[in-house]
Amino acid sequence: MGMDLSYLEALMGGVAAEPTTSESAGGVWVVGVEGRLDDGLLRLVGKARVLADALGAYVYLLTNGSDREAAESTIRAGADQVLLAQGSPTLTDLVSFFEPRQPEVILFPRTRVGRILGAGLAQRLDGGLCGHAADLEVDPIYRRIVAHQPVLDDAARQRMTILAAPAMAIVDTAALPAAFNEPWRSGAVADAGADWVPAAEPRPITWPQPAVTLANAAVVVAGGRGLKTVEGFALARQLAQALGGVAGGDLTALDAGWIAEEELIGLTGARIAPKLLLALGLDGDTSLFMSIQDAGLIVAVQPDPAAPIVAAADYNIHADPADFARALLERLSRA
Amino acid sequence: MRIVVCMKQVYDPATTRISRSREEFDLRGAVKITNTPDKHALEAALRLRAAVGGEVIALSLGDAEADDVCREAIAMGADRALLISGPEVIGVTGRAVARALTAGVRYLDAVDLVLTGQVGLTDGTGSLAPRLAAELGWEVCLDAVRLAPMTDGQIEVTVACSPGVGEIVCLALPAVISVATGSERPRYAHPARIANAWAPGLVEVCSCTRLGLDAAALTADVEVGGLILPPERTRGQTIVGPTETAADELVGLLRTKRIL
Amino acid sequence: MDFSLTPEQEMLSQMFREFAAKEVARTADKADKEETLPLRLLKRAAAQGFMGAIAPEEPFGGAGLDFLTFTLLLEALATECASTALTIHVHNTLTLGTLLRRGSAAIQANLIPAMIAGERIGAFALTEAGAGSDPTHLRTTAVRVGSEYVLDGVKTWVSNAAIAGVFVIFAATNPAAGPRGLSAFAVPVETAGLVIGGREHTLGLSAVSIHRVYLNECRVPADHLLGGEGEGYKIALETLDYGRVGTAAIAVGLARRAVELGIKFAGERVQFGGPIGNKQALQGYLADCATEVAAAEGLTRRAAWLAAQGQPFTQQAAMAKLFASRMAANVTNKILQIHGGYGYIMDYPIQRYYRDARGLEIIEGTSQIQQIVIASNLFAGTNVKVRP
Ligand SMILES: Cc1cc2nc3c(=O)[nH]c(=O)nc-3n(C[C@H](O)[C@H](O)[C@H](O)COP(=O)(O)OP(=O)(O)OC[C@H]3O[C@@H](n4cnc5c(N)ncnc54)[C@H](O)[C@@H]3O)c2cc1C
Repeated sequence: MGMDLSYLEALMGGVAAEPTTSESAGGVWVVGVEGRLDDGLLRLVGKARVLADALGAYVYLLTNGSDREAAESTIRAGADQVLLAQGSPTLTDLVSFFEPRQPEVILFPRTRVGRILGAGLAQRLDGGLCGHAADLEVDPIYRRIVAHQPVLDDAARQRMTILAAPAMAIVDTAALPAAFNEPWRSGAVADAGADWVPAAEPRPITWPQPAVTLANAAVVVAGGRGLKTVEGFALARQLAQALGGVAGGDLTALDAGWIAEEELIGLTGARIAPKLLLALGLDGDTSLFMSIQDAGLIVAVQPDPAAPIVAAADYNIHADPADFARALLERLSRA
Repeated sequence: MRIVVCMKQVYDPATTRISRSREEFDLRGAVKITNTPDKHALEAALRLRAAVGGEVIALSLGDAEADDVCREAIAMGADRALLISGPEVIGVTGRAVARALTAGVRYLDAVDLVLTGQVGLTDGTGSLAPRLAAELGWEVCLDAVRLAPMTDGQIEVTVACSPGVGEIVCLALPAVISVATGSERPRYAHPARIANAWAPGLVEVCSCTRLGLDAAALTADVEVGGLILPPERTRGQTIVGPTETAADELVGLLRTKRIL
Repeated sequence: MDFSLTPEQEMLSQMFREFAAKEVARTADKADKEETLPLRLLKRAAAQGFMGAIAPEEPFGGAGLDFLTFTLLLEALATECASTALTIHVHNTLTLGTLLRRGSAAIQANLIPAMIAGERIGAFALTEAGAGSDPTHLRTTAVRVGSEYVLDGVKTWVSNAAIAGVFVIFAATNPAAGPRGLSAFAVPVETAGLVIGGREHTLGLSAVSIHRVYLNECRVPADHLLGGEGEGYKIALETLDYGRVGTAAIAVGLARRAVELGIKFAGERVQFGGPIGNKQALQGYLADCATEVAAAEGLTRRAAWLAAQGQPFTQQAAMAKLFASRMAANVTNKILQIHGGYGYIMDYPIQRYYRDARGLEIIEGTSQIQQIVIASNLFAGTNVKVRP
């Protein structure tokens, strides 16, 4: 695999040649074939752009989720060529689409369709695949794609060098940086020349979910003595609602009569494991700390820098909890 | 119905640590267990067998220790197991695993349904089911929470899309389905079955060569490198400034952390 | 010499721990507070084969665990909840075990399948108000009348009484003959004249239902006699040998969790600018505790192994019970101390372990009685007389 020098020339002041279909051997491909063009796909195009720049290759987007007009946004996001298709491809369709094109890299978003087609295509093309990539880079020496695969519930990421060609990855687009929106970029929109059959519509179904409680809430706003009054504590409840979470309190809140038994956080009450714990006017004690061990981000609003919670929280805001709650509520309602 | 359930041995994430200094897994004290998502797949298979009859076969690939997985599957209710083992399967990567398991499914013959777990604990990606389906040329469906057999050689699959919301799809058999961890809780191995799990003839061990796979089929498609660690959790940081700016900053922080 | 478990035992032990973690852990605190075990838990235990753990597969359909493996079950259950472990222990070791060893074919066919299914929980009624450590002189009598025995008297401290479906009851068939005049009977709960009396509210092991049991001219068919007439004391002693190993296993499981609680708390509680676990004094404390648990485990495993091999194990059972129950009380006491004031409030789980452990030094022969058993073996064949 040699460097694509024409690309370098273009970089050094030449005119970027509009890629034509005949030139489309190789290249970094993004496949978004779920009938929609969402922000995740645009972010993935951006990541493909970064890889293609390092490889000296073009970025191709194969999609059935766009018309010519909307395709412009993908060009601003980094695509050199957008190939528009109709219908939904089967795995065999994709195999026959890609086999003659000899892509260098193929990226799929990590949706159910992307997971099925991406892994299936890798197997059929004898490619190398990282089935769950949170990020991708190019190894500059060997010019190989290195995927960053989350392990142990994303406690760390493992480097996966993709050896076989094409190099493929199914990418968690939520983990990627924001999409480019660069109006000076140019690119071409073409017909994919693929005539795919529309997919059968699945039958939707819903089932009841367990109610959100302190124990399973993703966001918990916990209040304590520092909120001073029942009106102050009401702000914690409003914030919980605004953040889509649940309110709770410590023993001081229980003693003050602001919360019910079921709302108590602590060893006698609930153990919590939210992604965000916002602690308003909580001092923190051992019982509380032992029940919030599995909390993700802990943000404490506490005027006293010597309060035990300060050392346990990731971030501290030394302010009056009620004042801060009002300010935050106001911002959240604006957003 | 002949159902094959793919089951693997993994390091229990609860006992697997990460060494910050060496940027790799620290496996001292790590315990190997049967991948719990695979037990959900087995549970689904056992329920199907109870409904329509047939046979449930556990299929595993790994070193000699993976025998434990086969025995546990039998103790939970599988009829028998096939373990693909031998020096050539040590450290094989996803593409080769799918090829070897496909050879296993073909060897088992007349298989109607292959079930897999949703994902491998610790370092899995959940790509096995679609890889197998591609190799076998069968239909595939991911994240099933419920399987209901139908009379006309089809299976009705309920798939979870997001909490409380799903779809029902019908697949023609033979098919490959990955079973979500939100499905029925796997049963415990039963003492009487545990006592009989080591009876001779229940676990067949088979090398890749016997399955007709050569070394070329097993070459690695990826190479596993070191770990990238997130910055260490630093507690006790302060967001300075008056209430108003601190609130702005927090909103920004929650946005970057994707909580908002 | 091989200390390892067989692969079957490993898998069983893993399943026991899984069951304990998933089914028992979440009920333990509530069961302790409400002084009752959820019946659903016992149903689940039965479905998992635990209520027929020591019954052979043939002909009864039990789980057929050897005694050592059974002690692993008790250990796993006691890690989460000693009350659950004790309930299943009394059911299996003391009641089902006695019926298996000494029950007539008719009794076995009648009662054992229901016991295995968890439909009849077992209880073991030896103790009386006047007969605790010394059960040789029972005031409960059993008089043969035609084809029946008529039982009359009051039993105390009957664990599982309120949920039981079958009782092993000891009574004097020949009161003049002392220990040689005692006999054991299997009495189904529906037998007329068997009345469950008041409840004991205990310091710990609180979810075990312990009641007085009244026998008011309670008539049982003669084939409900276990073993022969006059064999009651022998049956009690041989059963208690197994019982003591079971109690020791409960002590080991309970104490092992207590140590884990101590480690967790010592890492969490901050004083003098760091976690209290940084203090060497507490590290030493915890090292001692962990060592004691390991020592008790060793004694218990060996006693259980001897029992499973069919070798004599009375001495080892008494030693395991003496050491392990004391160890559990000692270890929970130390771990409670590590908790400081938090150990002394009802919020933290350590208080339950502390209370539960204390009971293990009393049941199935107090520590003093174990010492007598051990000493009598030490002095066997000498001129020294060991008498209770
Ligand atoms: C939680 C719990 C559950 C129980 N469950 C059952 C059950 O299911 N079935 C049943 O039959 N019983 C049961 N018991 C009763 C138990 O077996 C007796 O409590 C025990 O045997 C001690 O008897 P006691 O309480 O009458 O004490 P006592 O015999 O009165 O002993 C009092 C004290 O004197 C000491 N002592 C007694 N004799 C001697 C001696 N010769 N030398 C030195 N010291 C001596 C004892 O060690 C003890 O310290 C249970 C008890 C408890 C606490």
